[in-house]
Amino acid sequence: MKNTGDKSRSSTPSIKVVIVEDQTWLRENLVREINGDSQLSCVNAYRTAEAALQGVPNDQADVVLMDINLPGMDGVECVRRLKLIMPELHCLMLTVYEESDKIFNSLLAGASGYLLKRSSTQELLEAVRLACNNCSPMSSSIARKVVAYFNEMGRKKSETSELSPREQQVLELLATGSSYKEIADQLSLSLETIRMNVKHIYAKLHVHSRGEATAKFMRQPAFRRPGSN
Amino acid sequence: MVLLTFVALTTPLSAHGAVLWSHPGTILVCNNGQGQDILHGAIKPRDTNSSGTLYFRIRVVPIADTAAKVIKFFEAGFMLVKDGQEHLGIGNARGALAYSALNVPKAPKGFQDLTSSNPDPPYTYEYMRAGIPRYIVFKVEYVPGQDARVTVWLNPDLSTGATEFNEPTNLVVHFEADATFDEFRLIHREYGGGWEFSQMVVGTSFEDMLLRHFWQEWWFFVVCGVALLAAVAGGTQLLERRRARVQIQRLEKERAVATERTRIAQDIHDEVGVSLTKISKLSDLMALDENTSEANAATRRMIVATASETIRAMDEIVWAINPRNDTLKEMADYLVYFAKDFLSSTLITCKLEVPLNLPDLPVATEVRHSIFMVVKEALNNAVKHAASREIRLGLEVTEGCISIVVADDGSGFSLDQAAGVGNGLENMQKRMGAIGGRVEFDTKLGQGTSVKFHVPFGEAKADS
Repeated sequence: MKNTGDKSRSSTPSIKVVIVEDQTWLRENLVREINGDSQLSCVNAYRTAEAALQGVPNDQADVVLMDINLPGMDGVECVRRLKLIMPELHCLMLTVYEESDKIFNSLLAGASGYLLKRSSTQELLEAVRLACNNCSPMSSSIARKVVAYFNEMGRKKSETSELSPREQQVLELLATGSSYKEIADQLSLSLETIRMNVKHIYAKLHVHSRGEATAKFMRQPAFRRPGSN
Repeated sequence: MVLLTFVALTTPLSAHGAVLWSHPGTILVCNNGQGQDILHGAIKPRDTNSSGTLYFRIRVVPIADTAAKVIKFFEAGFMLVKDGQEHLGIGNARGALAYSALNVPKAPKGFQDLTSSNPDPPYTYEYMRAGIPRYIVFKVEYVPGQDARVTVWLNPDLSTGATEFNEPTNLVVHFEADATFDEFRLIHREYGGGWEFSQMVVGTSFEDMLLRHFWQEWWFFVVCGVALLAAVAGGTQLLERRRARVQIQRLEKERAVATERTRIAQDIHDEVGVSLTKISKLSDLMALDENTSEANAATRRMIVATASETIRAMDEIVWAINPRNDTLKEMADYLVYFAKDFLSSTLITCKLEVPLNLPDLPVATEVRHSIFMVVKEALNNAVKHAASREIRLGLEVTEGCISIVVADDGSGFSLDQAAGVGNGLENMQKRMGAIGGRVEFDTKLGQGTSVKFHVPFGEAKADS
């Protein structure tokens, strides 16, 4: 568990980052940007999802920056598999556009959030830090999808993934366009509490979809008897 | 329709009088003495007290010709016989070279010869030639107590439309004769190898004598009718099939266009998006280079901003043309995303009143695009002119209508002032008009502005 309070200002790199991006120019620049910060270090960079699946478990990274569109296995599937082995890993999706469908699928797969590829260095570093502190922002477009997802799932309730009334309230306010600050004011809660609520919403989203994904994954014969080939 | 045609085609036949008797076959008689009756009482006998008119037609073919003079005397003909006694005959009288009547004692010699349209000058008649068929038609007008008046045509025009009055006069012969009968007999006596008789008809009008071609026969009309029916049925089916094929082709084409549209959209999206991202990112990264001067910073920021704007604009275009987005849900999601994104760079808060569970309605590309454009325009006005702090985007679906509202809490304007914002408002009205929708402005100075768009969805309603 990382500190959720003030960031420590130690000079030794404390956050280890891995990058999965097929475009060389971007991959190299991202490495440069990450390593340019005193608190972050890039421990490895991969060109494909397949290579990442092999290497990342040994990298002991905190955050992975994952391109959403990769040749071969895409970033969403790669995140799904990595999260099965390493539930503590924070995954940030890299995308050219804010394609809400793809982003939402990534969130279901276990991603903590997304980052536009054109983001400035400052935005990039901020996003990595936030992800590490378990602070995933949630836009109203995404919140709308999350609400719809839970409504859909509501019909086949499972206790672990059901939202509390408070979380439901926060989520619905997010979907109507309110900011974290506005929600905090409206519900007379601290900003920190709202962040925790969002974190739990994400966690339940993961748990729920992971349950589904795992069940699906286990049914595949190749997985049932690993190493039999 | 078929029935009508059938009736129309058969109608001319009913103009004929009554055929009293006909003999379908061909009979060759040769030296057969008195001959035999072929009437068998089929027609009421005519005696000296009879009145009325009968028409006769026979077709004759002499087996030998008279022109060669090798033939000695012979007689042949279609004979009217009464009580075993031969009366009027039509054929060849003994000693004649040409077609003639027989047993016409009151006619002066030679006057019973039939005149011909192909005479052998200096005569008005033609020699009988072997194997050359001739039609002979004669009319008998019975006069009670007297001989009948007889008119004979040798080889008249018997095609459809011919009448006894428009036949050439040079092939008509008139005389009077005893034409009573209770039997018809065909006779040929002595030389010449015989005569062939066929197509014999007795009727009550000249029209009955006319030659009916195969296309005038009843069975022909039946065949025609059936063929017509079949043709109409076949044609209809063919037409139906073609229509179905055209329909299928049209749908396939539409689908192909949609697929192509999606592909192009995706390509532009991916390719250009990546390039613009690269421009934006690389410009930004120039800041990391030590030897980049401060003076370049402004230019660099402009490049970044321009690239970002271009990416956003392209995202809009691509969203607009991608048919995958042709649903109310996708449209609502995009409006929400756009409004939030559009206002994110301002201090204005954005309130959303867009239902989460929208009905699954199809929204045509042009409708969707028009709605997007007017919402964008309304948001733009609210940001630029109204000095708002909060903007509300609402969407609601009522019976057959999508209503969208963009409301701000800004300065508002009186409608006389609207000229200032004029172009934008006019544009919105034009766009809504084009898709059958309408715009509603509600504004007062200092009380904010609310713009409502109403778009009917007739087609979608029928589906739901």
